[in-house]
Amino acid sequence: MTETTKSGFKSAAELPDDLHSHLGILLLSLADNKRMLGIRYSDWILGAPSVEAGIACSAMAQDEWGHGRIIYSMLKDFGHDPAALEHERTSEEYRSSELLDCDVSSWPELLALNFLWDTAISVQVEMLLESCFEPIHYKVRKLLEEERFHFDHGSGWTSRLMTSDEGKNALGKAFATAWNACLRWFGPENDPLIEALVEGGIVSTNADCARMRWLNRVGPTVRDLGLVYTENSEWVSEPAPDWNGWSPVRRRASEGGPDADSLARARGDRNRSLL
Amino acid sequence: MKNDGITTGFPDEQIYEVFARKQRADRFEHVGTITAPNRKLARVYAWQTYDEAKWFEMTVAPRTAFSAVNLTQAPFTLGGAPPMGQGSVADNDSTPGYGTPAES
Repeated sequence: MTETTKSGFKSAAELPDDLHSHLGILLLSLADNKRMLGIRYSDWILGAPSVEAGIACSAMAQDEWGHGRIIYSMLKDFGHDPAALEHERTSEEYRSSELLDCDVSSWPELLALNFLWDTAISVQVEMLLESCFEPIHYKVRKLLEEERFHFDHGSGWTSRLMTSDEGKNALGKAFATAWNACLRWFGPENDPLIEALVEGGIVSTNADCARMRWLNRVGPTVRDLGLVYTENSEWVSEPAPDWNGWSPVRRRASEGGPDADSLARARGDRNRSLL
Repeated sequence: MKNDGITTGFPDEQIYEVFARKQRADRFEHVGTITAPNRKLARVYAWQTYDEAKWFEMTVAPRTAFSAVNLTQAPFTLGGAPPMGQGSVADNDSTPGYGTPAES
């Protein structure tokens, strides 16, 4: 992967107001998704199909919380108090996907988060690799090195379950349920937030290109689930994105947020009350 | 953490041996085993399980890829080694070796 850094912004303070605001929205969304995804991985440390898979969930949970912490700490330069972001917000203030609002009840559903959603998040992070917002470069590179193993875990397990009819049926249901949230995570065509960030050199491609990159990454593995087809060597989503209920600011379904248990875990409520 | 080759009972899984080194100038050391259904997951499991050091390089191979050289038991067997020369050398390779009838 080549990196061609444009001469750019050495700190958030140098960003024009609109870019400062838009990047802050994107970063908060990434941080919240990583924190909540870490919780969902942690739910499967015990109870995964094998000890190794449980250890992998533990490692991925730690990775996601580490990534979330890095991004939250960056947000202090975007007008946020990181401590308040991490510990004081209500459920409705979270920007994490509706897919992460509550625990998932099966391994195929966890794989939908691991393979589809985690990959979608990573594709959006990749768009910051060549960002002209310089503070983000090294952080993003290290983060993506760790995410490579998350992708391989999701892809390896998805391929494995595809080999049995029962596994394939369960995956089909779980992946179909998660599919639309993944499609629209990148934003609608001509999303004003992403368009402005592309124009400003903060992210490298627009929403449709990012969505296409995600489809090309997950498409070959999910080809037998009826969710994708190929056209001119590109993977295309069978269902079109459904934008009903989409919130462009929260970058998720406008309704809802993490459930009470997830929120308490994300904020560390129970243990912080002892201090 | 050493897995020591405990299998999970899934018929599509096998044991992989994990080797790693901390620096390019180091020799590889055997750091443990994992059980996985395919190479992709073997790589993930190895990297995420044996994370006690900042490895420069890690590699995995199926246990079946190793052949016994001097002992009478399969490679990586636990519980002490029998003396050389007792019993036949365990061999998971079907190709004829030195001194076998096919070569004599």
